[in-house]
This record gives sequence, C-alpha cells and structure tokens, in this order.
Amino acid sequence: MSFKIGNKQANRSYLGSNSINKVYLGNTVVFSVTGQLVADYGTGALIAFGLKYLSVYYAGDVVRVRRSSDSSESDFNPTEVTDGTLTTFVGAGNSGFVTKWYNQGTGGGTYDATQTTSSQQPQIVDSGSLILRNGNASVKYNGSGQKLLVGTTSNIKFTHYQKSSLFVVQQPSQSANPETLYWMTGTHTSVSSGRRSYYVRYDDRSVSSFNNDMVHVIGNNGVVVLNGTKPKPQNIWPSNSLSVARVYSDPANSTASQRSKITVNNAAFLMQNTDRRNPSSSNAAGRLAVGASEQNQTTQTWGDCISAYILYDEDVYSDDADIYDDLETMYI
Amino acid sequence: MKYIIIKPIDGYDSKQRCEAMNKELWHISVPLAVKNQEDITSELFGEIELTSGEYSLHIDEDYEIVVNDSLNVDALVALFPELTESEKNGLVSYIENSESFLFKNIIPQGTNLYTYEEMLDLELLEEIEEI
Repeated sequence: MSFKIGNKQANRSYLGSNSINKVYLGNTVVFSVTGQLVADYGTGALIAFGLKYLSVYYAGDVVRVRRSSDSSESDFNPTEVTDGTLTTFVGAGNSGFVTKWYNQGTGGGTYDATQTTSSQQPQIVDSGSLILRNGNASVKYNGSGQKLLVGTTSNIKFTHYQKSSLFVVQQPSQSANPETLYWMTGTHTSVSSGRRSYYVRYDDRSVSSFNNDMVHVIGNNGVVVLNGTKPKPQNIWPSNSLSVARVYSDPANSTASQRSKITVNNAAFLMQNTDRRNPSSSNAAGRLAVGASEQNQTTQTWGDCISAYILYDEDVYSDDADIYDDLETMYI
Repeated sequence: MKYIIIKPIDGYDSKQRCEAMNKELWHISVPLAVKNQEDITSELFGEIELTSGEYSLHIDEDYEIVVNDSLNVDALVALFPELTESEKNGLVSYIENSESFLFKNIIPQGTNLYTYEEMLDLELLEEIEEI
C-alpha cells in the first residue's frame, strides 16, 4: 500500500516536528520510510553486525570465516552465507569459525569485530552445516571463552557515558535451564580495579533473583546497579529461544528512571536508576566484547547464538517500536 | 580448558615467551610462508596475565592442530630449552609426521596443567564475584 500526497509518493511523515517512520491503520502499516533498514534510524547505528544486510548504505562482505581443515580464511556477503558458497568453502564435515564480523554501521571498519585467537573464535558452520536459529544464519559461542572484540579501543557511549541504544537478536543457550550466567557484551574491566562499565548478561541461575532475566549491569567504581526483571515467572524468557533484547542507556538523564531501560521482545520496558557519576576514563582502554562482558574473559561467555547486534551511539527510543518491528520481521 | 603457566627463559620474560610459543603453535597450521595478509588469526590460545605478573596460556587439551606441509618448527622447539635433544627430536618427528594431532600430545612431560578453580586457589587469578 502506498501513501501519496497528490501524485507524489511520501517518503517522510511527521507528527508535529517528530519524524515518523511508520503509520498504522489499525494493525496495518499504511506508510513506512522507504530505503531504510534496521540500522538506519536516527543518524544511523554506529555498529551493526549481522549475516544479513542491516543498512541500505552497506553492500560489502558481512563476515570472514576460517575453515577447520587448513585454517584458510575467506570473506562472504549475505547471499554467499546462505547459498552454499560458505559451506562449500568450509567443506563437508568441517567447521567454520568467525575471524571478523564486518561492521555495517556508520563507524565503518574501525569498529569491525575480530578474534585473532583461533580457540576463541565463535562458530558459523558446524560439521559442514550452516548454524541456524529460527532459520537465520547465526554466530554461535561456546560459553567458554569464545568472543569477538570491537575495534582497537572501545570509546563507545554504551560503555562510558551519555545516550546509547543496543539491539541484539540472540539466544543465550541451547537448553532451557542450564543454571549458568552468560555474559553477552560489554567492557567490564578487571576485578582489581572494580566494576567500571556497563554490560549485558543473561542470568539462568535459579538462586538468583534475576533468574531467566536479561540484565543490564551498570558499574561505577564499586557502585553496581542491575536492571533486570524481577520477580517473574520461571522461563518467561527461556534461554533456548531466539529473542530480541533492547537496552537504552542514559546515565546522565535527570530523570532517575530513564537512566537504564531494558526489555526482551514485546514486554514492557524495565526502568532503573543508575549511578550518575561518569565511569572512569580507564573504561576506554577496554575493547567492547561481543559474546563476553570484557576482552579478557575466559569463562562463562555467551552460551549460544547472536544473529544480529546493533548499537546506536544515540537515543533512538522514539523509534523503538519500528526497530523492534523490523527485527521481529527479519528474525523471529 | 586449563591453564599452563609460562616461565621465563633466557632472552624471554614470561609474556614474551607466552606470545612466542602461542604464535609458533599457530604456525604449525599456518606457517608464515603461506599466511595470507588478509588473515585475521595469528595465535592458537588465549593469553592471561596472572596476579604474579607471569603469563599463562588458556589451553584446550583436545584442540586439533592441523599440520601444514610447509611448517618449520625450529622456532617452536627453541622455546623449550629445558627439553633434552632426544625429547626435541621426538617432538619434531611427531609433528612433522602427523597430518593433525591433539594439543595434549605435544605437551612436555612434567608440565603442570591447572583448572580455573586451582588457579583461584593458587591466587593466580582473581574470582569475578557476580551479584
């Protein structure tokens, strides 16, 4: 269905001075911004990792893979990931590991995620078969040290200060109740210097008040705040299903409840106060980990898949419904 | 996954030896002579700085190392001055005559492997206490 003003196709709609990306008539979308993908809201996501194209402004390779047979590496675009080119390269019965997840966001190659250590590279092909979740090609972590690291230094608002918005299509584990804590992403620095950063984890420990919760952990020189849902029914977000996690971070917001917002799928956001002091500048020394809470983590890293990871260096909460709608349509 | 504490040797402190060993282990599969400049991978295992200041390799005993025909293990063997000539020759022969092998098969006799819990008990790693 098109939306026209006179004979002209509308490409932008406004409510007052706010740009609107979609207009609904009942449950039907009667207008949506054309030529825009899930990483193109606001001024565009700084970081966007996926095995599908996430931005209309990116048309290159999305992943570099090392095959187990001889450790050769090669790059692949989304078509090649799914049309058999990737599995042919890896070879029947062999495994393929991700050495680089190309950044499709505005930050460009500086924010590519890489892993130089072979035993810490997450997997994309297992025994000759592409790893799929809900039919989507996905990057699989083993929960024991596999992770990818962004750029050379983080210097990203999510890990330090100001406003950021994080969207991750993910599945924490392959089982429903593994009694484990999984770290998804962050720059949680060494314990000797205290917690001084933000990270996201999935808690599946029955002894924890955050059992079965996606949790946004905000640490600042020993003051730690956790924003997760509690109490909740058991397995409301089971660890063995693909879902969309969204985290909005704005530690300097004058409204306490607006400093951390987190949810999974279509549940209402949980809002939480956080420590407003700026985290230590030493946070900048840590590289943002995807599949772990920090670059040196060797235990209890992410336990299953990440299908897409999109980080905006700005608050795109006003577009949240559209972004979630896009991700749900693409992956869930 | 276990930990091997890397001791310094002449010419290498613990960190330097750990890095050198790790790269040479990787070169068994991808020797510098055949490495593509675009390739990202450059080492086999994670390297951890311990509270003592020494470094440790975070190893997987069952990691399968594929042997490349163009390999040269001289640099790797040179990092093990504590081995006898007979042990060095045995190591070279085993690697060169294998298509692939498990990492545990080339760990020198007498090497201590520690679990994460043992490393905590030795206070070589600090436990991350989670709320």
